[in-house]
Amino acid sequence: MWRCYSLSEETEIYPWRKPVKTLPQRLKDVVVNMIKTGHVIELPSIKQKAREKIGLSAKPPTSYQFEEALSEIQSLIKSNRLDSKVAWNWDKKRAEY
Amino acid sequence: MPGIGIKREQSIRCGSMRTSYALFLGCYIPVNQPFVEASFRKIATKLGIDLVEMEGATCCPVPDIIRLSDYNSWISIAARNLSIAESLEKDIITLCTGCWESLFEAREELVSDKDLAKKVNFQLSAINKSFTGKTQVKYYLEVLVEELGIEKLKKNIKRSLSEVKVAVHYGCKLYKSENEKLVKYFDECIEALDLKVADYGIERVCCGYPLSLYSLDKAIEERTKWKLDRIKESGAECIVVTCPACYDQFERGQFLLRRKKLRYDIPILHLTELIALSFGYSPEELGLDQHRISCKGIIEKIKPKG
Repeated sequence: MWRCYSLSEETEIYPWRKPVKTLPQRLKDVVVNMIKTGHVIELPSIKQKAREKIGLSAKPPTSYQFEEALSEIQSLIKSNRLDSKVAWNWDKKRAEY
Repeated sequence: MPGIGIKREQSIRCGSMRTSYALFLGCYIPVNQPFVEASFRKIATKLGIDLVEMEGATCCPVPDIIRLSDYNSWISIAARNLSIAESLEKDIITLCTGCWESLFEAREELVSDKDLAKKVNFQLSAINKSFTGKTQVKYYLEVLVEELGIEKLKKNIKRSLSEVKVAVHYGCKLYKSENEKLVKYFDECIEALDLKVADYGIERVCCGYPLSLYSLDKAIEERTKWKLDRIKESGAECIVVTCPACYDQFERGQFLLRRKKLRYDIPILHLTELIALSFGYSPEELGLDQHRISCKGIIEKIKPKG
């Protein structure tokens, strides 16, 4: 079976491919958005209007639209402790890093 | 129905059969670049690709960030997305190269490592999902070129783009495909659209997006500006991309460089937009007016096919 390049290892071609222990700020922001929406970016109302303008649904049929999907992904994040890397407070629904 | 002995692939090329995929949207395209989604949905309708919505899908998750932040989260979230397509009994089609990379590689790892698949399935069982590996992950270029055939694309061209000079930016992820086949498919589409191609010499160089996650200034200075300078010198009127992160990087880069009194005003277009324009769709219905860098100069050069 054909396989991709080495996946989680640093190589000359992919120097950034190594696990990050302390997340840089920009990575933390992305993880926070993942916890909040299931996506790496939020979908503000202005973007929803832009979608509707060209005949698309305001919200795509993803976790932006389905809360159950969001709770599923939050469950996976919790069980793998990714939330701890951004000190996510589930009661206050915010990161406390 | 395809006849006995006629391969499915052949029957599609003959136009006797529609093909169907689960559409994986990702994050950047539906939020920041909806014109890509709009243009691809229109292309798909014209070419006979039925798109089934993947309800409840999430971020792929983004390989450059989540995989490096926490491998276990990355593989389990990707497996959950794959399981949605499995429940639809469809292969996945992606419009984003990052989503393609993430889902393709996660599937490869899970299929080849039974212990890993077992661990991931244990986590998925808590949310009533499971991964079996029966769904394939395809990038849209594979479907357009391998499955439908470039001739079918050519047959639907109603407008000429032959006066538009483009700088092709392949992006790093297409080079990860088997024998770099996606790079060749990108070229085949560009050729089919009869675009003029500017040779700027550093086509293979990264746009700077991955580096920008760690140092935005360094990424703009050492990658994005370098490419923009060479593209401008080549006389290209726009940059053609297939990756939404590359799109963002070139667009953001141009706005940030304005602070240094450097002005480029080079529009960036996705290949799907150029294909949809050549099929006869209007710039308005595709949402080209939503680009932050005006595409007016490109639109003016589109002529009826002679």
